[in-house]
Amino acid sequence: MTVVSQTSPSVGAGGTEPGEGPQVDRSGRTAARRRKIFSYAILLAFTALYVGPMLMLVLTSFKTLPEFFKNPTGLPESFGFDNFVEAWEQANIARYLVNSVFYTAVATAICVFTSVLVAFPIARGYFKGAKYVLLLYLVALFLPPALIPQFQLILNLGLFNTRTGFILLFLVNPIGLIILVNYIKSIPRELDESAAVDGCGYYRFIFKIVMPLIRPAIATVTVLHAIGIWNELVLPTIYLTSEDLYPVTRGLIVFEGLYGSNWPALAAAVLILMTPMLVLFLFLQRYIISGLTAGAVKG
Amino acid sequence: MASITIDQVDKVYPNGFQAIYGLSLEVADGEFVVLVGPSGCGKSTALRMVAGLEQISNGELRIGERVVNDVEPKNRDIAMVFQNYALYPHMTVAENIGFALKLAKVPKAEVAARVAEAAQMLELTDQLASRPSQLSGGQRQRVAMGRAIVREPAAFLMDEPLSNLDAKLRVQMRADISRLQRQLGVTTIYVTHDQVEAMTMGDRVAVLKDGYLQQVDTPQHLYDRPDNVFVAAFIGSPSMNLYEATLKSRELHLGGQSLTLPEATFGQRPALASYDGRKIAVGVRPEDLEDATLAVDLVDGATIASTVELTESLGSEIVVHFALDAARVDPGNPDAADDVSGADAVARFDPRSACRAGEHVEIAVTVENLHFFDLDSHEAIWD
Repeated sequence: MTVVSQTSPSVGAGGTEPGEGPQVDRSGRTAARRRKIFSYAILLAFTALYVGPMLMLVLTSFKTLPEFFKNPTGLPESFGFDNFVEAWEQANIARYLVNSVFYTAVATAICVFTSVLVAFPIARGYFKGAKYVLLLYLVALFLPPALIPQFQLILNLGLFNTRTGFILLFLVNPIGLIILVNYIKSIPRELDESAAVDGCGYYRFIFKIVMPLIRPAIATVTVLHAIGIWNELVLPTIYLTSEDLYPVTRGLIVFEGLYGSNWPALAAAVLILMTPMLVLFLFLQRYIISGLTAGAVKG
Repeated sequence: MASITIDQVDKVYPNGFQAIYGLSLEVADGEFVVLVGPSGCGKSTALRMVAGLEQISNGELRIGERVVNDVEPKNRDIAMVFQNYALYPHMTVAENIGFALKLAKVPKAEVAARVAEAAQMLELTDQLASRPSQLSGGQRQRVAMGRAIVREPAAFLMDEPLSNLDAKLRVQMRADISRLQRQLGVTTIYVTHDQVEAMTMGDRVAVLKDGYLQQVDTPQHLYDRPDNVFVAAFIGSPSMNLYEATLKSRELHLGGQSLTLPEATFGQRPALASYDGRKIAVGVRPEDLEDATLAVDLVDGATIASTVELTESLGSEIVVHFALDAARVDPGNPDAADDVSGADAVARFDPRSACRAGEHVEIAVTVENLHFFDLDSHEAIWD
């Protein structure tokens, strides 16, 4: 969905451009049309690539298990919500949803807030070696997750199988920090100086001036980070052992049987699971799109 | 209001680059002083030091009687207007103008009253609820001014505030800022690289080059009596023509041509006599050159002959580019472009002049207005 909405305007504009010139002859127009058809064909292929699995997931969620095994890709015989009810109850979604919301909201809020505080002085070079600190974050992007030392750390801190320990795992997001740093760089430095002359303190400047101006970047990082935490399955499996602390993803494991999985119920559970993030994305989408285009033209 | 005293101030950056060398400047209470110079001359650095946005490496800075070397910008009682206006994009015009007052915890009613007053002064009343992105360049500039005015500071510091505006608007805003400054009587330091702005706005103009103060004076005095070759070439448009010449008795040999200097010239410049037989730098302003066929009171030994290379008719005058076979003197202005026609000298002729490109022309020189400089030190020759 994202790919289609981002790519189509530019392709459309590129396709119509040659036709706008007054001296374009018939062959030029045909070539432009051919290019347009070709562009749309590629777009359609990508759309199918993205929408196909989504469609299969939705269709599966309405099928019974025998129906799924008989015809995995076909249409369901009827559209009932039995699988959703089953998923809700079996995967304990009502109970685990609270945990997921708590982990995602708290970790995302802390991560975004602290990232802005870190990104601002890095972007401005307000301390010695700022660019090397940024480089460290960049390096962190390419390193494999340090599962064992991290596990040892959490264990030694006495935070294994605790909410605090689990949230601690999600407090840093290198890609988010890099997005914020780059966005803050687009804010003229004169605003800092003007605020300093006006008598605005450092933190007040960050909260009253910087944060409202980097809303698109904050929205982008929020969505990226929240989705990451929400969908995380490996870490809760490792770090959380009491059922009281499970997030929704951990609950989905019940559909994995020893001899086979309950695919339709799992599909329904996945759909339920993704709904909150979809809502969050739709809610923040206008900021994200303006974040992608901001800085392209002189403000 | 307050005076500003810059006393032997240096600015050395951590990488060892020195931007300002021993700058001393006294700006009187209510005075409008313009810092002007080519890019990289240190004018903005000097202003930022006054604002407290740059540390001072050596020397002393006083606002009023108070030494402010280590005082935070917000405690210096100054207001600054930036080149790109530095308006907060997410705030309305009213919020932008009133921001500093809000920070100073001024009561809401008073903030509103002072914002309204500033807006009225700047004809922004109808735009108070707009955001900066909805305003034109000129209006944004006025909002930036409003932000400074509303604080009623001891001094205004302006860093090239008009350079983002188009030429016509710049002329209008130039007049507006001058009028406002006179009306409010606030001590002002204004930085620009545009010598026309400097000449038209400042009570006094300080010319800087490579971190050194070259000369501070009233605009007219700078124009009439530049202290050195750089100031002579920097002030005035088109620039002063500067050539190497040899002085022999009262004769000035300029390439293959010669001009006879009046007695009065030596009376005004006693030191000139000591250059007899030596090479000097001579400067002549384009407005002191005229088509000899139109010149009144043409005197002997006050004309030169050349070939016109290019003419630019401006309606009120004709700018004539012509070649001279004398060596040019480089004033050392990094921003100065070479003459458009590739010719050496420029003159401003009366529009009735019939001279055309490629034609021979006799040029009358107002010899009493010539400027003389030492060829080595580039200093003006006076006493």
